[in-house]
Amino acid sequence: MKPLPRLSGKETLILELLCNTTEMYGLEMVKVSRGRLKRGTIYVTLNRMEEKGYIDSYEGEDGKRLYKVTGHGSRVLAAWQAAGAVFAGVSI
Amino acid sequence: MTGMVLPRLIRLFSRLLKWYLEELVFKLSEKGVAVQRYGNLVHTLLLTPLLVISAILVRRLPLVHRSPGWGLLRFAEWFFSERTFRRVLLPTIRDLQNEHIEALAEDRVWKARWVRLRGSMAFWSAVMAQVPVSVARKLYEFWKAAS
Repeated sequence: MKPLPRLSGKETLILELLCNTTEMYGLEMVKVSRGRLKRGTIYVTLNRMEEKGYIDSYEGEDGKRLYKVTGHGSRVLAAWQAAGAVFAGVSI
Repeated sequence: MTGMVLPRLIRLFSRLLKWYLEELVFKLSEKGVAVQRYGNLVHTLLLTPLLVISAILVRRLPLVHRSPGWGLLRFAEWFFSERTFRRVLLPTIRDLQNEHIEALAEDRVWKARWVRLRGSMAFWSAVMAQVPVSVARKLYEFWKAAS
């Protein structure tokens, strides 16, 4: 059995942002996130997510890298949100 | 460092030269033709070396400036793997350069300076965040190759 994929807070936020639009630049995500994503770490996180197969990227005509969510990424986000919704109702 | 200091020195020097020429014209017009001949000789003797020095300095003045982050780019290219450089550090520097150019295009010099500082800080944060990942990956590769 495959281990369940885990998403950090930043990864969840990035996937949510990318699911709402088709493609985004790294700096655009930083500006939209209102301080929750930092300029210094955004590309490290994006690189890690790309290695996990959650997102895909390519270099645009202006030389800037554009990011978009993959099918695997959107499925992981949906599963993560569903799990979050289930656990939100559980009281310990 | 030389790239920053030299243009300032040249600017200062040209200001001094301008002031000197203005003084010269004023004095000549004030003291009249009798003094002019003697004055001309002294001023020519003083002015010639000044003009020669200024010409040498102007020739050394860089006409094309390196974009901010040029040194960081070279460092990142040398220190990190091709993939990490392309995916993590190059976009950080590109953002810095684009924002810097935008600020300069709007004539906002202080914003451009702030962008430069913030961009450098972002770059070093990215380096600090990436170094443990790169080191761990290398160690894993070595371990895998050894076993």
